Amino acid sequence: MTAAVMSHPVLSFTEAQRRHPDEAMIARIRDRYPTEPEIDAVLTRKMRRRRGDPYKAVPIERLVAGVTAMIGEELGYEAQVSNARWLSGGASKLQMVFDLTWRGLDGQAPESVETLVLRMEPAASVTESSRRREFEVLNAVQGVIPAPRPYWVDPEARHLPYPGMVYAFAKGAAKPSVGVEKVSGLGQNYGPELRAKLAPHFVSLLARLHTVDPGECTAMVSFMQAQAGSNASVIRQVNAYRRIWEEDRIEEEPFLEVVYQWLIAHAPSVDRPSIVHGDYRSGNFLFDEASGAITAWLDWEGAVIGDRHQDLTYATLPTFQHLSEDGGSVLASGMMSKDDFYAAYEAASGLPVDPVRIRYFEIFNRYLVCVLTLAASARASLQAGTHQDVLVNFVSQMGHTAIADLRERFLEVTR
Amino acid sequence: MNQSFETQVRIAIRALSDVIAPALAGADKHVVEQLQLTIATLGFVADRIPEATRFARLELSSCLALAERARAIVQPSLPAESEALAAGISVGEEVLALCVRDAADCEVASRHLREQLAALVATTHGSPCERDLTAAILDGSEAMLAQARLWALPFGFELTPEALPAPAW
Repeated sequence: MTAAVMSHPVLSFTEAQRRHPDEAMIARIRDRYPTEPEIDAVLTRKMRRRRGDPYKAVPIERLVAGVTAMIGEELGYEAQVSNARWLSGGASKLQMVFDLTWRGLDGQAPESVETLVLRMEPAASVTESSRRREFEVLNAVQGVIPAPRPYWVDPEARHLPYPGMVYAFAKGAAKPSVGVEKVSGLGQNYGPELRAKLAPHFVSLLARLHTVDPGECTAMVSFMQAQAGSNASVIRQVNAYRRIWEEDRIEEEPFLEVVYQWLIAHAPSVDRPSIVHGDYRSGNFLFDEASGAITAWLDWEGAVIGDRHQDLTYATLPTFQHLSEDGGSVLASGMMSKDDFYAAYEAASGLPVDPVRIRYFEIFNRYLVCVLTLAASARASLQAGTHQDVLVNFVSQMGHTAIADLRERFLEVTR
Repeated sequence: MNQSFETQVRIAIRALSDVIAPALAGADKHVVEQLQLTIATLGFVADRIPEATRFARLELSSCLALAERARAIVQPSLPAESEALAAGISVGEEVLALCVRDAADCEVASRHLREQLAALVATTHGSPCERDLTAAILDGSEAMLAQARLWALPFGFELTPEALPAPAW
């Protein structure tokens, strides 16, 4: 079963409309690029929010009050929030770490102190995503691969200024504490010694994630299932990014329309549905420096139920790679060569790595990066939508390199 | 104007780098990070302000060349779209001919042509001229994307900047 490619009228909106979208415009875009209901809801909310005020700095006291109310309502008893401070890192979400003095989920445990993180979205974001879905997938992967334990979610911002969630503070380092030799490449370099320990874990955890049966994950109610033998789930995702391009772009790029048409026409069927992390790469996990074990996978906001090749090709994007110390090989996500990575993954998961799907998702992920940088990031900073517009604007400038890389790979794949 | 925009931006960068940054040595990491990014962003602006109009004119020229090529491809089968594109080309040529016009005018005209070209790609999908138009877009975008990368060079995302062509603006 393959979703049909249909002919649709071409949409045309002005910059003024994009800055202040009305309901008719929102409806036309939703109709033209159908995607998963929860993603549709998040993107629609983004557009409606755009008509309102720009992002205003949120005092930490406001977050403490909101999270205290949220937790109190969830627990049914009063718990104390203290030692709140900002948590840096990441370009898209606003994070606060704090200590919670409480008596456990049922209120019957002895009083203890636990360090937790509030993760909240700003008015606009590099990646507009659902806190509800992030909360659900974190629940689903508990016991499968290391990830922060989620506690509570405020998906409609009843207590917080914007939707947010609370999860356990995960221990571990994001970068090596000692300097490593300078190598060529933008990706995180862990150095040879640490790399040798991290790389097998990097692969085996991905294999473990992809071999979970999503149909068994009852927690993931906001996710649409992917059907084996159908490309509908892939097309829904392509449409989601095309929709973001329509909603957010600053200027059109005709080449991206060529790529979109190709992605729709060549969307492969999913052979075996998997939980896809969506942002599986170097820099997105914490590790124990002594043992080289990965202690927590972070940033689950892009998770979908779909094709494992999406994660495999994302981890090998040029942005996340660098040359080995001897200059002899390109290390995907700072771990190992692409070929070694795919071979190790096949061995660990028992699942085949299909070259045709790899080529497709290499284009898909590059398209995604272009949309998130040249459209979503650029728009978010243009309309003063975040707590760090200067960083988001900086990220948007990566798009010029990303689109040239997409063009190059597209020519290789299609000729 | 006794002080150029570039000079004024560089003065602001010096103040941020030499005075403000040292005073924030003990501040939260995200505060220091945003200051550093602000300095880098202003550095980009200072570098590019003197060349902004020339770059905008180059972009418009490239868009016009691509639009002319696309129009020739779609004219026999899509006369209405071809006429609309011709109107966009005419506006762009007029803007380009007036060297006194500022960068913003060139940007508006370029963006209009970009929208028209992308719409043509969508409209011609599955039609006999799809292949030729796709080839023209892919071909025409090469130099445009390379110049855009050069333009954004001060942000530091290029691994091998020496491999890029020379600025054409």
